[in-house]
Amino acid sequence: MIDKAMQNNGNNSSNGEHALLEVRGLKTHFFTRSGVVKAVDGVNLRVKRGQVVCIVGESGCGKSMTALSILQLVDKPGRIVEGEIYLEGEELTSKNRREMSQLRGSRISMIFQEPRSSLNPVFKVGKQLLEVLSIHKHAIAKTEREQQVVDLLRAVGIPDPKKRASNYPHEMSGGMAQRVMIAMGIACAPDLLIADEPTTALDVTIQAQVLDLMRKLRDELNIGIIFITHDMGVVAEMADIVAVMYAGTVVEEAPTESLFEEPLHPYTQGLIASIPIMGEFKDRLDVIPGTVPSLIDMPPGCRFASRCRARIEHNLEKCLDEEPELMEVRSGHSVRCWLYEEQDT
Amino acid sequence: MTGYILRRLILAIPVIIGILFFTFALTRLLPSDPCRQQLQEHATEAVCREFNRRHGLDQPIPEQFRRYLGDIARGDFGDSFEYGYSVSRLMVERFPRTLELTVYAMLFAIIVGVPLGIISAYYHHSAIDVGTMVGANLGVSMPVFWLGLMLAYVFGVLLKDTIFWLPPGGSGVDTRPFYEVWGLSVEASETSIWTFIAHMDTLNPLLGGNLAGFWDNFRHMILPMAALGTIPLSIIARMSRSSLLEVLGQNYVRTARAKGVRERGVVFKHAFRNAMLPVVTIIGLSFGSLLSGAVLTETVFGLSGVGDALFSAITGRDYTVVQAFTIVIAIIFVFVNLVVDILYVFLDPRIRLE
Repeated sequence: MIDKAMQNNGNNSSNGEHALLEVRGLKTHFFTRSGVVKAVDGVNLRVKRGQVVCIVGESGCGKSMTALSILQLVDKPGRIVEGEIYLEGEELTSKNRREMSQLRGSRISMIFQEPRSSLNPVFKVGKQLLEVLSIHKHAIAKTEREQQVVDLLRAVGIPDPKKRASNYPHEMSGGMAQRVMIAMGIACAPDLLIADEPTTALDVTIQAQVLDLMRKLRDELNIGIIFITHDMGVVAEMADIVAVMYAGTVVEEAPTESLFEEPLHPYTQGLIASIPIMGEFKDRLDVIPGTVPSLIDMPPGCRFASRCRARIEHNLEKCLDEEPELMEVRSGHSVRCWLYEEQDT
Repeated sequence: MTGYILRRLILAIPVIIGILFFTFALTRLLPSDPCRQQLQEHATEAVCREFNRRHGLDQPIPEQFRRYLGDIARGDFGDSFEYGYSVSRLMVERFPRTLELTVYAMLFAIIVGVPLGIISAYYHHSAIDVGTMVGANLGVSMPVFWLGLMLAYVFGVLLKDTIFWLPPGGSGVDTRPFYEVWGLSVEASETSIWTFIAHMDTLNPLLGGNLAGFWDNFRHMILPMAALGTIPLSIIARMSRSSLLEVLGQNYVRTARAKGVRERGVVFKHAFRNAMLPVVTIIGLSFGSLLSGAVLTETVFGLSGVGDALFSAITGRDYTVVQAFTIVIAIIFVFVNLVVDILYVFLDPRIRLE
């Protein structure tokens, strides 16, 4: 049902609002010897210009794979088996390799978790930054491109950018390297920036600076940002819209305030409850019991059923047999849970 | 940098002295003695006493070593028992050919091995990859002399009277020394650098502008080069493959793709240089095995180079030749590995020589 609503928004620009990115029914599977790993199994996502959409979830829930699928950078033995990806109405999964590489770095760019290992150790950072411009903006004169490199480094808050451009990645701190990555990400003024846990490897003060920088860039350039994280604190700070992922699917999607005020899905409730609060004493931190089911051999029914307290409390039978759809419970707030079935109808 | 090179060179001195000592000791530990090996049935008691006296072999061994070190320090490697002239002259006669053979074999191994490794890594788990790796395993397990004989048989005998025929042995025509062609009036003594270069079978005609001579001599090098280069080729191919595979899985390769770099650029620009680091080390190390492999190859193909001379020197207990050639090979090995270490600085900015 939400899918239907999305479909209308996706292709229909009559309401004047064309989604910047629209992902529909995305499935990315890995064909391994021990079976098909359904890393991404039916993800819908929508990003508008000037919006930060956070994808949140624990390790292995498919958030990074969703991001890599959008850029079609999924390594073998994985591939996109189903679904459509639209960038301003343009379908991406049917594009060939050449067309995709023209798109990467110019219209969609991505920054990664480990900034220092994400930069090539044998080239100077300025050269690596220059490369993006050389690929996508070869019409501009070389001297001007070199000037742009310095400007970009300055824009992301690197002091003494001219000198820093001739540094090698190992001569930079993690925070500086991540700024270089961000500079690389915005070099060609992309429409969409995907940030895959960009601050996880950084300490908190640097993290705050990097988050600030990204928000500033979003406001100045009016770009859409997909921000992937497992840190609910970062989510609260960054997101306009939050998509909570669990075992390859989105289980809840809502505007940030709505999600934190009233999380609907038992998994989201568990996630928020597990954030330690400063000054509050607990013998044990709240945890969600159990483990994520195997992505190879997914049980029928709700993926969270085996760990769900609400299912037992409400004595729901259906959960173990039938998988719920993502349903819009309140305006803009949808959830994939049988608990809310009646409210929906 | 200069300080580092200087230190490395100084550190090489004890290594060289160690090698001097060991080759000296080992040659003397061999059963039989030079006189009997050289003169065979003519070696009577009296003749041998005279032979030993003439070559200083009647002295106590520590005294022999002391004299030997003294000679080496003056740049005198002594005279060969077998040839009757100085080892230096023998070296100038023989070394150029081995050097050329080794360099050709090395180039062959690199030029074929690295691309094979890249192709296997890029299409890993495909038929091309499996085929290449099976080939590499075969190549690395084939004894040099057997491969040499097989190559000589196939190209020299089976393919006779076809355009694929290659000379199965020998070293081609003698060409006029290049300095004569150039009209230089140089003092080309038997141990001069001019003679050394003129003894290079393919470089000399090339310098002298004699293309037909070059081609004939080069053709004589092809089979020995292939026989000698196959083992390092296989090692380099396997190393390039595994190294490139590892690099292709690195984060910065993903970044390159995310930047919009095309596949070719990803492999040849971003991955290649990183992947070549361990391969360069292997290349340096295989230089040593090439020099020793040259002994067998030269014997099989009847090339009179260092290997050939060293072989007959060992069987003939020609102490001075064995010692001198071992030292020179060791020095070359030490030097090549120093060059590799210096090359690393240019390939990998993370490495600083302190």
